[in-house]
Amino acid sequence: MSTSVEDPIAFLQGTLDMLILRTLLLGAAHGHAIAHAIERNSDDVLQVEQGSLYPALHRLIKRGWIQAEDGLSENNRRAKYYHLTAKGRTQLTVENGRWEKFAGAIARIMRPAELEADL
Amino acid sequence: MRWNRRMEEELARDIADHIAMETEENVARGMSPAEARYAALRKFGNVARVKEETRSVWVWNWLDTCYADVRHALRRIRRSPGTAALAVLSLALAFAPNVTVFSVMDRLFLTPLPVKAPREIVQIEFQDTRPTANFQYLKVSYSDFQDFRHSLKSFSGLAYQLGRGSMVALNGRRVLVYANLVSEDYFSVLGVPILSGPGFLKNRPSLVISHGFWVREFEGRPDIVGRTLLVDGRAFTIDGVATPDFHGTDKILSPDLWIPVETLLQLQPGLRADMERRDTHDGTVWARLRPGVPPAQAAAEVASVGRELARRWPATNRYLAGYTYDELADRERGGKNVTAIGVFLLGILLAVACANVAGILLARAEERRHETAIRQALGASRARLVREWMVESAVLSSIAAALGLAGAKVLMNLLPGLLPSMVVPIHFEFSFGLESGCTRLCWCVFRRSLSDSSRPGAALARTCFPACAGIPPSASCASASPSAVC
Repeated sequence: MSTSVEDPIAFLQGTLDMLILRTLLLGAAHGHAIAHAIERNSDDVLQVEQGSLYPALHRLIKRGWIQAEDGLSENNRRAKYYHLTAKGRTQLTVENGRWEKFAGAIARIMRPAELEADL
Repeated sequence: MRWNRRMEEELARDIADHIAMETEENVARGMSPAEARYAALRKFGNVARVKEETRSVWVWNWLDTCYADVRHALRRIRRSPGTAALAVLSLALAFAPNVTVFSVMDRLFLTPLPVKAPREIVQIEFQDTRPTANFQYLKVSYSDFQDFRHSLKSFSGLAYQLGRGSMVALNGRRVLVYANLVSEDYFSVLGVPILSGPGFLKNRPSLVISHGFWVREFEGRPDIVGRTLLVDGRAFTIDGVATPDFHGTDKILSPDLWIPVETLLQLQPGLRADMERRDTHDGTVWARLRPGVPPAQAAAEVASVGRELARRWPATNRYLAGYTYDELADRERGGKNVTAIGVFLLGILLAVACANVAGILLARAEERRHETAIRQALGASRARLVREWMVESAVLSSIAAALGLAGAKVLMNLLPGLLPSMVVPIHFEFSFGLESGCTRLCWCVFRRSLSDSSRPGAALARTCFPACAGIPPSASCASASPSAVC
């Protein structure tokens, strides 16, 4: 799969998709919990506009990477829980590999001196 | 999966739940309830936009906006009925003759014979070899047909067909119909199925009626097979109804009845002498090539059998050479020429109508400049506005198309009045069922008009102005069927 960033919006969407999939790897969660997990695990660097989560969740359902089912939240509120499907797990490794390639490429450009120093 | 009301409600609930949870957390952190809710909403972002984006994940959004566009277009048309009526009328006036002429051309030239594998079918005729001949090509007498059938090996079957008017007694009325006397294997040679009934039977005088005749005279009653029909005073059993799309093998006339020649000769022995004359060149002979036989070889065999006949029957056949006539190829050749001319003229007519409508709509666009400017300022994209205009044009031309078709139907009914008077009255049948009408409409328009690109008018129309986005439905199934009104 190509790692070129031809369509920046699709690329960013893909990144959000990956973050959601990664979060759900730990277990089923509802939308609010997913948003919080992303914020918390990035030490509040990634402030997701929480609403943007929903189109992404639906996109993932449509592609068959996650499934939704009704459940109860920690404080006994009804909520929709999303969990990974087998297809979603596979997709996560694909996205992961893509991301690492991309991050590595950026890193090599931004810190060539340090890399040399490491050698 | 499609986006529906249930999914809409669920999404609304999910979002509300989400905001409620966030609000609760904020309250737990010590905010006042109002403050907490406001913070939650701010963090969530634009709810309407989120809903819209989620909806568009499920594609159907596009259809929804199209529906809205159509409603909007109808509203705008209603607001200026005069202009709309003018546009619709000028298009309809161009469509109606277009459809009519095209229907006739279609019937005459563009559609192959309604038989199985029409490429295998040829006609067998005579060519008069005398330079002074009145007619260069002659049809075949029944006796010659029988000789051809007996001798020819290149064909898997030969069928004979002779048209004539017959009087039929129907509920006390006497009705003049167009009948085809045919060889008993006519339907099987042509590979035309019978809709219901066994077809010609050998042990009783039986005939097959056309679908149109069945519907017209018997209201399509299912118990028709086995009933008796009086034709020219002789009783026949109806042993079959032809399929709706089989209009016989003549170009214009559609027979109402098919009667086996042999049956008729048994009932009316007096006719035999007439039928056996070799100088009556009035029968059409259809022959189906045996698979694998090259047409040239078949033609050579026909010629040789023709020479044999000339030797055996010098009085009548001396100057006649057997000749195979590829009716379909001729149809196609003629079709190309006539269609090219017709399409050119009709294309001009369409182009004029389109230019007319384009002018009307341009004037209206000028009037609407204000509205367009406001909508653009409000954020309507150029593409969105163009689409709206296109939809409006499409709506206008659809109305015009419907009107044009209705007009064409009227014209088709008037058409026989323009023909020279005939013994058997003709009337054109507009078979316009949804299945035949619409599919042929699209099929013809796309295959014939576009791929041949022989339809400059339509092409020009489509490119020159969106108003003509609706291509004129210049194809329809027309069938002429003689029927007598007593």
